[in-house]
Amino acid sequence: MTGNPLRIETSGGVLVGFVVLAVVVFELRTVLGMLFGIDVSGVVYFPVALAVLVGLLVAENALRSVGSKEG
Amino acid sequence: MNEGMVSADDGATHGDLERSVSAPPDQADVDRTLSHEEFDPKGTLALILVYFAILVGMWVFMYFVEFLGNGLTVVG
Amino acid sequence: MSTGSGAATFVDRYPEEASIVRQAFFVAFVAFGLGALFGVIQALHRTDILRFIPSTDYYTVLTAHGVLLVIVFTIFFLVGLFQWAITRSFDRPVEDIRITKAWLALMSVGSVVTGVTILLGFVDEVGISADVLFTFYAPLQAHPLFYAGLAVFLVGTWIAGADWFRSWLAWNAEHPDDRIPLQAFVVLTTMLMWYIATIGVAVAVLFFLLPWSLGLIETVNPLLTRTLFWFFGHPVVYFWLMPAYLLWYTVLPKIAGGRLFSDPLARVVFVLFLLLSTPVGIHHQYLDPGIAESFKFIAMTNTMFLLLPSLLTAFTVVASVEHGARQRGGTGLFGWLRALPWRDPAFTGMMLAGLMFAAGGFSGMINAGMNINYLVHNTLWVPGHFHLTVGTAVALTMMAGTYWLWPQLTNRRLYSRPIGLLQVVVWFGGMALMSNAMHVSGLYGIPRRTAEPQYQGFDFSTAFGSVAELNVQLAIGGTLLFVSALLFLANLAFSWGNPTTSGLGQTLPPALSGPDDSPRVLDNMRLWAAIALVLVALAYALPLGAIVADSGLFGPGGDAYPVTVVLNSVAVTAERLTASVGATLADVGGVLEVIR
Ligand code: HEM
Ligand SMILES: [Cu+2]
Repeated sequence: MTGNPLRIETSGGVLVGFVVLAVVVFELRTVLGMLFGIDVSGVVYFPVALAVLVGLLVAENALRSVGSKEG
Repeated sequence: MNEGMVSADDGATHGDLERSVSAPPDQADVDRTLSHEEFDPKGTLALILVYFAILVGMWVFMYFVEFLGNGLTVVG
Repeated sequence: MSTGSGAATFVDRYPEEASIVRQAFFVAFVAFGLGALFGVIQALHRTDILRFIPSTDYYTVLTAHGVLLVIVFTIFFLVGLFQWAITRSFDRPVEDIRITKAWLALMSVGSVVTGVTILLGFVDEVGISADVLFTFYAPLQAHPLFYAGLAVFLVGTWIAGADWFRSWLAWNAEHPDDRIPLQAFVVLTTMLMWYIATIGVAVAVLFFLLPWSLGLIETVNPLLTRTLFWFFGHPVVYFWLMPAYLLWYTVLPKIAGGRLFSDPLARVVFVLFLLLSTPVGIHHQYLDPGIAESFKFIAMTNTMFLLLPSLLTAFTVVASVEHGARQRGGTGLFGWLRALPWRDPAFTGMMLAGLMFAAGGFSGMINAGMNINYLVHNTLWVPGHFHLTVGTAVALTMMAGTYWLWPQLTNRRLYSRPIGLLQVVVWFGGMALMSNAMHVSGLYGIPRRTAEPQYQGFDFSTAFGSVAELNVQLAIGGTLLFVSALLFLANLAFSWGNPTTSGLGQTLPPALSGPDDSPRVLDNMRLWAAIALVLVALAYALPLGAIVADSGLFGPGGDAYPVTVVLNSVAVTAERLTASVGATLADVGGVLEVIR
């Protein structure tokens, strides 16, 4: 991103994107329950969802640092 | 500190402007300037269509399943 | 000392006006802090997670929460923001600062009187209370001071509006050929709407509720005062929303690095709100007996028309943000979203507020349907809905807007932008939890406005999960919201300790398609006000007439609850006693009759 002083590669976007994604994943259980009548136990759902989200965050972080080394 | 006044350019690098004030102080140094004619908000259209699809889907569910699917409630 | 690159700030150019704006914001944020505290108490109490107030005090808390947040917080922020917008966009000082100070003082005194009257409900010894919730439906009765404070507050807002119209007239005399600047246009149309809307509460309070609570009249017609309340109650939701829209239309595009997509479209939207927001109030009364179905149907139809300006807004605002993103180098059908200044709490706060508003649009559509409304009426779904709209779209935009406005009003930087970002994100997450739990609980039939929504020998049946789980969700969400509110207030408090800095000023760019692309008739305030009045008369003359014809101006009679005025209460207790003694005697007589 040379020559574009206004666009800093922000971690802000990643944070916001992550939170929005987390909310969507959270609502997904409601959608499953209300729309499809699938009752997933929260005790199972939330830890799994959290693990997936954290996994994504770690992966994203790794990819980004690789990307910036190349750039 | 020095009479309570410091300058807005207190050694901030250009990129830091985004942090020191809420937005780029002026629109002069954007990447490119898009006029009304050049700008076609197709991303907006796409987002709104996605929203609409979700909205209609949920409404249909609420009406046909939740509302019509529930029996009469007789009070009293 | 001054080597800043930015322009002069608002406070540099208009120090007196900036001080008014800051004072109005101060009152707003005090109310916000108290309201948030009461909010978390409710969230913990009604879910039975933590109960440290007696359930009998729940309604005092709930009344304080509602009134402090949707009357004091939102409207004080509104008048501050509107004063900024008028002064900034006309680029002229107020005509007479004493008047400006006077209306702010009136509003403040009124709010304090009403607020203290509500809070006295905690102190039983005083015998003053106003546990009537922010809708103050009769036969719930408050101490006269509650209504009196409200009246004083209203008068303050009316003078504020007059003050802004006066600025417009003065500006117009000097610029007869100019179009009204967009920000001023928003203020003027919104205040016209407010004048029309407040006719309803003013009549309800001054002619019925206040005299009734003073004991000057014996009874009121509950359906009449309720209908008058909702005459005001729907437009007031747009009154809350218009400051958020003002920020979305005029500040957000700038923060995004772009320009407003279309000024003419914006004007059309605000005119539509002026015209349509009042003749729909009956949609809050779908379940009220005593109002004919046909009137409810008309209200529903009008409500559906109101979707139009909201959709236009979604389009215009998102397009303006997209314009910013593309100017910042964003590309792709959705990829432009990545080019936006997400680290800026002002930007992110407004965007998340807009996203939640979109979700609130869905539950709003359910509320608005005459038949499907039966599914959710008076359940927790309804607070679930409006915490997305006024509780987030409006409140979060106001907080985000404050992050941007703060330097303009004080010449001080914000204490911490990262904390600001954390704050808006926590609000978003907390509200997602709380509102989701409320919506789902509502579908299971759990009522709102209930301290202990648990009943002997009855369990709510759930489609998935459990009520206990929803309760935990609601409580966690409410707690996160409270933490977010504290972060916001603390950030501002610490910002006050920052040194003043010069050159923090920011300008707002003109729209891509300017006002000259629209017909001049859009600026004709008289015309729109007249049409709005005609529409209101059409929508309300018949229903109000029917209500009065049915049961009279003062209703069929009945007791007020609770009876707050001591003298009154003695009299009424005595009356009740005689009545029940009489009834018992009659019963005894009847029994004797039968036996004999
Ligand atoms: C700290 C954040 C907040 C929390 C934890 C919270 C919590 C709650 C809860 C649990 C209720 C439902 C009580 C019941 O029906 O029994 C409620 C009602 C309500 N809330 Fe909030 N709220 C918060 C912020 C807000 C904001 C920012 C607004 C508006 C600007 C707002 C406006 C209202 C209104 C109008 C009611 C209805 C009062 C009534 O039924 O009379 N709340 N709140
Ligand atoms: Cu409404």
